[in-house]
Amino acid sequence: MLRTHHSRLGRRQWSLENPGVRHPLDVPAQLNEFRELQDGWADGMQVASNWGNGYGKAPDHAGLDWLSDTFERHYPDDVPLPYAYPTPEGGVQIEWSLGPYEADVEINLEARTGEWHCFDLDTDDSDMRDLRLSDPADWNWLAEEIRRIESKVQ
Amino acid sequence: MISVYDGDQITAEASWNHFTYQLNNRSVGVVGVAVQECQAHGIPVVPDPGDFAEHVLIDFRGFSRGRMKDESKRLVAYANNRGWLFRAGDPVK
Repeated sequence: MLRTHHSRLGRRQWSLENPGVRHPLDVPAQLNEFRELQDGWADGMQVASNWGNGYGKAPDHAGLDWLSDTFERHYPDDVPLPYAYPTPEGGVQIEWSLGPYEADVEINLEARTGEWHCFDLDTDDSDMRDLRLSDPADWNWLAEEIRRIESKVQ
Repeated sequence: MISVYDGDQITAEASWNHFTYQLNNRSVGVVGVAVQECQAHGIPVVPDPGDFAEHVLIDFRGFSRGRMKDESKRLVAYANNRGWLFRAGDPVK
């Protein structure tokens, strides 16, 4: 699946402007939609020789509970929210498009780890980092990094 | 590797019909990248008609994980800038 999107509004600002209405990028709400996925949901995303053989592991519901809770707990209100997508491996990818910067964290719900990747489409600069998402310090690093990128494109 | 259709051999709408109705996959629409956009960044594009005549592979094998992620984001940007070539529910031409 290919997609484009961007919102620079933080949850707090959006909720002030739209009292009582959930932000469209509310991450727990996005994660909640993934509970309907069944094994095989991504069939057609793999190479054609394997189409029809089943592909795509459904995310573990306890893992979604953990991510929803830890995101709400550790990701600040004033930082741009990501789009969330399921991965065929049974994980979750959260993504930000900030100017020329395409950033994501590919999250392993079982190991509670993430792989940060950011690519600057203008310069080809690229950055990767392993995150321990059970550690608040790594959520803090992530939030600061998104803030830093946002400040460069404003 | 990414499986794609060769746009010189099949229209976006016909590829969507093939992908969904004939091969029973699900799709909300079709986007595209140019062969030149891949080749300009050293990404091999290889015809692979074994599965069906118009089948082509964009081949990331041989790239590091970081390079693979870089190039996949670059291709997504090209496709997004180009926009939808066909969407499910578009009027039949």
